[in-house]
Amino acid sequence: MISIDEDFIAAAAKNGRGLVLKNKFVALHHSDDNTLLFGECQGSGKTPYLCSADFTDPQSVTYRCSCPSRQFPCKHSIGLLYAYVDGKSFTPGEVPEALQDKREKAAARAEKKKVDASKPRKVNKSALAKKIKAQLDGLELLEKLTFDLVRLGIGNMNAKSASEFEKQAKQLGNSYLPGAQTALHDYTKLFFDEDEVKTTAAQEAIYSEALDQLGRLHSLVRQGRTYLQTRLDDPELAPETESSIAAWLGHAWQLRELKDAGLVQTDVELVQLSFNSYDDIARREWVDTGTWMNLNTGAIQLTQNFRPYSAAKYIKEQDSFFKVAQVGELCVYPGDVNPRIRWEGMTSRPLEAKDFKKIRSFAHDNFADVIKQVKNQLKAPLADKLPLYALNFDRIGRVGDRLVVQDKKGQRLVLTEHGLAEEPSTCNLLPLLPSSRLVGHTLIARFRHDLDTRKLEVKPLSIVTSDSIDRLTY
Amino acid sequence: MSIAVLAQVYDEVHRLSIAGSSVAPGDFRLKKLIAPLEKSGEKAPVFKKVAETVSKVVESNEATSAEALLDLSTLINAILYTQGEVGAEGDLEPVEQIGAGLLPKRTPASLMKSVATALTTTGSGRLELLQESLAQDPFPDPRLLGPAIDALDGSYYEVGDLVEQSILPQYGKSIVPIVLEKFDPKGGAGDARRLSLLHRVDPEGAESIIHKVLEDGSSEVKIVAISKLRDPKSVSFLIEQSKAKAAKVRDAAFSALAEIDSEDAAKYLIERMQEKGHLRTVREGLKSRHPKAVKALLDEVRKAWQTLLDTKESDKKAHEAAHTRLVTLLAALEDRTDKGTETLLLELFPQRAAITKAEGKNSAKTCSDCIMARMAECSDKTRDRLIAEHESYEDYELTMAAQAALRQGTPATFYDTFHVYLENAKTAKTKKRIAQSKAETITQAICHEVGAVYHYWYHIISKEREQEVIKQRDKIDPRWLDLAVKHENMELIYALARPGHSSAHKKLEAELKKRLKAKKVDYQLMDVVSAIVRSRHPDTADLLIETIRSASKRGTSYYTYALAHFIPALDKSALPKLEALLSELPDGEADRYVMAVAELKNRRD
Repeated sequence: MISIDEDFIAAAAKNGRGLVLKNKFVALHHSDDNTLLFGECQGSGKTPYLCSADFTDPQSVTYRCSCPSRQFPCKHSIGLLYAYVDGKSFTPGEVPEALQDKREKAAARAEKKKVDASKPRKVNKSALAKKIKAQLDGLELLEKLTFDLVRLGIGNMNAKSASEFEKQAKQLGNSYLPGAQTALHDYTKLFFDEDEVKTTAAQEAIYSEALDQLGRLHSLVRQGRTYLQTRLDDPELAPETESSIAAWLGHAWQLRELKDAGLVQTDVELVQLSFNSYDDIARREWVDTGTWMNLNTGAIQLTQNFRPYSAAKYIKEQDSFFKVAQVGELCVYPGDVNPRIRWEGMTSRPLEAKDFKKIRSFAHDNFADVIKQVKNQLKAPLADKLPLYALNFDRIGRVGDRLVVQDKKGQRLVLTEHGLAEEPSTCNLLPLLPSSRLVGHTLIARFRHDLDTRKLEVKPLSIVTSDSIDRLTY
Repeated sequence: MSIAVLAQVYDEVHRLSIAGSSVAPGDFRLKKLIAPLEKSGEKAPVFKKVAETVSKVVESNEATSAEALLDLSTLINAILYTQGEVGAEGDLEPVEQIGAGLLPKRTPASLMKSVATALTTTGSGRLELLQESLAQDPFPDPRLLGPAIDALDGSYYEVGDLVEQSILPQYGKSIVPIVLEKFDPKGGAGDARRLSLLHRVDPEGAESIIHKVLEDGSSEVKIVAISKLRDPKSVSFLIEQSKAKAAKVRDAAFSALAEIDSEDAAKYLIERMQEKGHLRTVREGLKSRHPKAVKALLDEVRKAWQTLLDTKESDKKAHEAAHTRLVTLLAALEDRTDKGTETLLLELFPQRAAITKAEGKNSAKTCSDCIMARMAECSDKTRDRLIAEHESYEDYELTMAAQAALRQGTPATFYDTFHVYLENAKTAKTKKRIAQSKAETITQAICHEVGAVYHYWYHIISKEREQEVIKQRDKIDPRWLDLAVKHENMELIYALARPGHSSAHKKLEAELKKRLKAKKVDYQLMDVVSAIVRSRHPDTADLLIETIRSASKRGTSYYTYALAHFIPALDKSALPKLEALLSELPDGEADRYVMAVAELKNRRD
């Protein structure tokens, strides 16, 4: 059973540092091309351990050591890095044969990976067909459940019936449709606290949301069926990348697939605009969500780190990031205006004035255009209903008791606290900020269409000025 | 596009979805909308499509109604999403800024989250988390203001108090309107904290709120309000409250009366202190600084003193009452420096023996000690008198005289007056034990003044404390150290050893070697090492290394933490020796010192 925590990691770093201070390194070298640090470290045995840090790919350093430790990187490799940072003398040296062999093998593997990546993938057609059939059966079940829910009526739903539907929904997981299962869960979770006393307005809001969710399930069944049928007919067809239907059905995109589909951007710089971590009690997982602006394209993209309770200790928690992330290969998931992104290795640099300028240049000056885009997007049943945009505003002010953001042309958007239920309130922070922050900056905002009031409003997440990103959430 | 009819369709779909699709077939309200939709459909095809979908619902049966209703709701939602209203009509007013303006800090979200959770939830460990978080300076951040204000209502009073006293005041006066938003004068402990906070950040502004609370506030909030009253107009109200049944209300009222500069308050307090009895209920009022109240208090002390002298011990009840009254009155003289108090103390001082006798057989010199303690605080004159009679004192009294002398005179006069006790301990032919005890008293007084005695390892790691020790040490006459070396008074050497004093260094070195050789290692080893480091012994690094080596061999790991903390303060020239030590120690032992050596290495001089 693996059990590590921050103390464990801190201990490894401390031990590594200790090796340097205890003068345990008997030899310190670097390769002629300066891509490899290696050295010999005296351990408990007779022969010193040969440890190394291979910087052939600086975004993904490879550590190797001849010690028997299962900790990776081991304290000897960490010690080697400390010795380098401490300015110990590293002399050029011939890379030991054993190490050179491993490097060559790694280089060959990397080359093979590249070649493999360029090769067309072999598809096990019968297995794929079997899977798709199971998924189609799953969609049948989802359709039946959806119709049952509509027949039953939203008003007759309660915690007990929600729980019964949940049990049936488990079968969707067996049909390789975890995404569909989650969509159904989004509906049933609205009723788990049914016993709570609610105001009429709150009850109405739940009904409206439920109706929207049912429509979403209905569309998911229809679009999913068409998509799966197409794939069944043509097994060579890659997963759909033009829309998010594959993800809706629960396709877990692998980075290779994203690369195959050409959903990769190279040498990208990203700035985090906001960060929020919340506990999704209904799904029994923590979710860390970062909102980033891609400085190459101006797109607002999301990192999402899901940490199910049962596996939380094995998944590193993500935190807010205050620098510019420099990513060699950025994988972008298929999706809407704010697609999910992932990367394997990155370096960082401090934020500079030019970055703030760039954010402002990518932000929208004309609210009317953004509103049009948002409305156009929201009408698709499977669209992200809470899109994020960067808005260059003239002023944030008050009209009566409502807070309003206005562009230079006088177009206004009303600010709201409604957005993600788990996110902290932000509108109440605006009067606490220096009033200069509410004039002529960039607002990072989440749009939301209220089904009951039929109003399109925005929730403020951050204000970007010429030298800072003032985050309103956490 | 006229969306009124679409909105009607949405409402009907909403209604049918709540009731269940089985009631949808033939629904007449939905049916009524087909005609207007078709009419609009002549101009806009989308209405026609809606009309068709509505017809399908109306014409459906139990088997097909669910799908038909879903088709309709999906279509109508999609259309309404494109029709969302934006904007707001009216004049755009600026957002009124609260206070001077606060900016969010660059605190990691994980810390923000855990602090906000600790402030707004229940469960153990929250107080510690908040106290520790203060080191990372997450306040004042506008995002944590709401959670911090909510924490004022927390059930765990220590968290509430920490927030009221240490966290929210960091936001300054600007938070007043926000605190007031949730302030309920009739509320509980949270509102009492809110009022206290308001008074803390804006005493003048809180005045009117306090008066309002006094009229209709709950008892908890009222107690805070009462204790904050300073307006002379409030005296009659305070007098009334001082008669309340609840002790907390009475204490708060007397406390405020004592603080208010008012003739009426003084008059009332005088009346109350002249009442018979033990006066404990009035004790907060006895602290008044009003000249008339002070005069009355001093008169009462004199009377109580005389009463005790006149009361026979055999009359137990009366004797106990007289004694308690005198003790309560003497306690009220604490920290007073006025002339009247000075005169009284000087008047009572010579009568100590008589009053101790009057206190009875079981007396512990309570009144006498109290008089001497007050004299040590009061004035130069009382202190002079207290010091002058030092030769006649027992140990505890001698401590008070020594402390008064340390506060009062020059370092030289303190030495001249009291060094004799250290000499006597060595030279006394008779009553040697008493002489040694007095020498110990003086030693302790000096050590206490310097604050050098090792108690816990965390004293050593406090840099502020160490700086204070050095500052206090340098205020002591240097002759004390010479005397301590002469008489081998190690405790005093630990406290006073200073850079450049070679004989003290020799003593410390010898003492360290002796202790390292001893079978048993006791806590005084840390005093020796502390003194060596603090006095900058020329061989500090070597001696520390020797101690670490010995501690490693003897397995005295308890001291490791403290020993490691001396390392970062050493001279950097010690690094090679320390690195050699680390490579020589067993790995487990060396690991205890690794971070300290790294800290020394990274220290920027």
